[in-house]
Amino acid sequence: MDLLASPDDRLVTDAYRAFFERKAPLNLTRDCEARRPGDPGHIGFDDSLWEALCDLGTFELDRHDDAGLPVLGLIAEEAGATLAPVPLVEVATVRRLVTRLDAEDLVDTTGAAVATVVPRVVDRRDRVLVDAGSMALQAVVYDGHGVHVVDRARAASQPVDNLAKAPLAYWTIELEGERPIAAGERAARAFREALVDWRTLLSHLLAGMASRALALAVEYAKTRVVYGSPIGAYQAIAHRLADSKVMTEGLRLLAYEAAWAAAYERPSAVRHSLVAASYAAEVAPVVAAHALHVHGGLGFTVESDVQLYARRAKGWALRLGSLPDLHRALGVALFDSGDSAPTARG
Amino acid sequence: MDFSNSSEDARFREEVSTFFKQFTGDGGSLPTREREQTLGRAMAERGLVGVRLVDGALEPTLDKLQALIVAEEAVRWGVDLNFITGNMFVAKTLAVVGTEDQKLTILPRIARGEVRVALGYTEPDTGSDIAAARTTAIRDGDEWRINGQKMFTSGAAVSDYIWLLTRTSPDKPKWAGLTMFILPTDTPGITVQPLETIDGEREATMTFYDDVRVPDSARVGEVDGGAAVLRLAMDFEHGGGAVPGRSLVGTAHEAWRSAVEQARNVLGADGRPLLDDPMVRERLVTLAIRNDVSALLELWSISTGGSSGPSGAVGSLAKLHSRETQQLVFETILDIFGDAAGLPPGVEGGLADGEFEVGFRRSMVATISGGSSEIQRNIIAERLLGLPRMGRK
Repeated sequence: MDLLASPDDRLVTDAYRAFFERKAPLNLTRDCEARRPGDPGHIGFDDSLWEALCDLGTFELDRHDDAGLPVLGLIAEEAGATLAPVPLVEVATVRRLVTRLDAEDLVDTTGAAVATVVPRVVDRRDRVLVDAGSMALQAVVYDGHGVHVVDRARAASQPVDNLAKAPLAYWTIELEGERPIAAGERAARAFREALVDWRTLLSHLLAGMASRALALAVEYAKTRVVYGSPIGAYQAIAHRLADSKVMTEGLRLLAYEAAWAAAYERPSAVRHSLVAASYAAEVAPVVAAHALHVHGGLGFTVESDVQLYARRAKGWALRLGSLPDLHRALGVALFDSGDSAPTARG
Repeated sequence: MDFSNSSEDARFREEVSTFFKQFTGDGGSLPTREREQTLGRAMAERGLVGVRLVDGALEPTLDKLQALIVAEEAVRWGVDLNFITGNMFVAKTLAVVGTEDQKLTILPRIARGEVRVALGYTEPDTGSDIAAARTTAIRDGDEWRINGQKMFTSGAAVSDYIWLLTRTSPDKPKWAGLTMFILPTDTPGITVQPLETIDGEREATMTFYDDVRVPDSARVGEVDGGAAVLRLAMDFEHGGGAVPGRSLVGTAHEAWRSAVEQARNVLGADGRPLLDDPMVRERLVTLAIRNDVSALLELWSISTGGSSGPSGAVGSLAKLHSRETQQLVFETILDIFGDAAGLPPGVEGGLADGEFEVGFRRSMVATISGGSSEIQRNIIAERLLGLPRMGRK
């Protein structure tokens, strides 16, 4: 038991922090959100940053062995901290899913090709909001019976603006008459594991966002002088930020544990992913909103950086599904599954 | 990062669990010297008090994770380890700054689990501002004369020593005029007066010091150097170190587990088990998430401090979150079960024989004792976030 970053963890974190700091400044994020549906390029996506990220061999780090998900989680945290406009979580999840199903040749994830996954059960005929659906060529979906690959070209995709400023698009899905690439328990299991990956990586992403939003607020509270003192010297401000620190570190640790439990195939992996996702969906938006609040009216202006975080933290939290749904699923894991020893790690 | 439990740790937990099982049920009763000494000696024999003496030097017998396991298992079996906790801060501090004589006379008795040390920090007018202590120690030849009053000197009525913070130089700045002493509780001039508290424990006392004369050998650290001694002891207190008796999470987790079991059987107004009620599930789920956060923050603080040293400000994250969660857990459980959960032990119709009613009352001190939640937030703001020092001079 050692909850500190290992030297290997630190290498990954440092390398990707440097990469995103250099390649993904906030004005890139701003440029990507200024696009409207119908403009060239996609809201929330920068293709040259994405190509650079793929060129680094990022997805080859996911060797689909023990270290895969925790390493991707560390990278997602850094991507979240800089609001990097790349479909890291989507592509990582779908790659792992098709690898599990030995379906690599059915879904193109070579080079910088973007494929995605729909992280909830779809109807056989459905119109769904697809993450990275603006530019993904294929989406992997599960209808409760089988896993299918859907081509964007046949889905009448329609990009939409959204709170997260993410490259979301509506796709129209028609599975009637289509052959699944996997069915039965094999499909169900693969989809369940994909959901664990999705929740875990998004929790990391949100932890990164919360952490950076808090850092912005702390920096502001040190320098902004009101009534003769830096506002950070007032307990009303300092204590709010101290609570944010507790939430941020708690979220980070829950995300790590979820990644670890999945990587080592613990029976508790589903539960840990639901705990991390529930807490992420609850607290990341709160931490970011507190950070905006500490900036006062300036935080509410478009030119402030903190507002970029406050909007996205809530928008990305929604990508986890509704909080009641997460809690309902967690209730099943806690009370109805026989996996009955949460918290105390004995 | 590594979240795994080693098989040695699992085996250790098993042993400790078996050990505490035989002392179960003694937790809520009057803390008598006999009970504590029996338990203390038995724990010392098995290395469970956390320290031992080897050639006069204090050595840890537990790493931090093992100390946490001891604490968790004690909570699980309802065994109160309060009496060991204060001992450990004092022992570790004495090992660093104590005189040879203090190390020879006091440390072996602590290591054998046969004495108890009460902490004399806070006073009627000072609360969390410990360094504002007004109890005076004035040099008088080879002796010191101590006058004043301490509040919440937990366990003083059954303790052998008092670890006493005094003011030796009233004219110096607050932190620069303090000196620490350790003196036997039966020193003439000390009066211990029980202080009734709403948890029903007989732990809390006020202690009065009326021209108490102690030799200079009772002094710990330099004259006017009490701040450094205090900081060291408090770092051991907040940041853990291998100190059993302080599972920050254990109480809340055991209560949650017990509440879930009750909710399987207790029927709601619709005649179905409460655990089938989505509103009840939602609230229990929320508590489970909170407890998980507490547990990881505590383990992180253990990882931060190495195997036996203090972990400093990171411990404040764990302390703040787990104590506030402990209160939330009992408040919520009482909400869920209603009337029956509000009946004390021994009352007809009480849920789990009053377990939650007692827990609720006890939890009310959780955000006050051991450094209030506000103090923890100050520490986090100043030491972890680097915010400017709050308006203090």
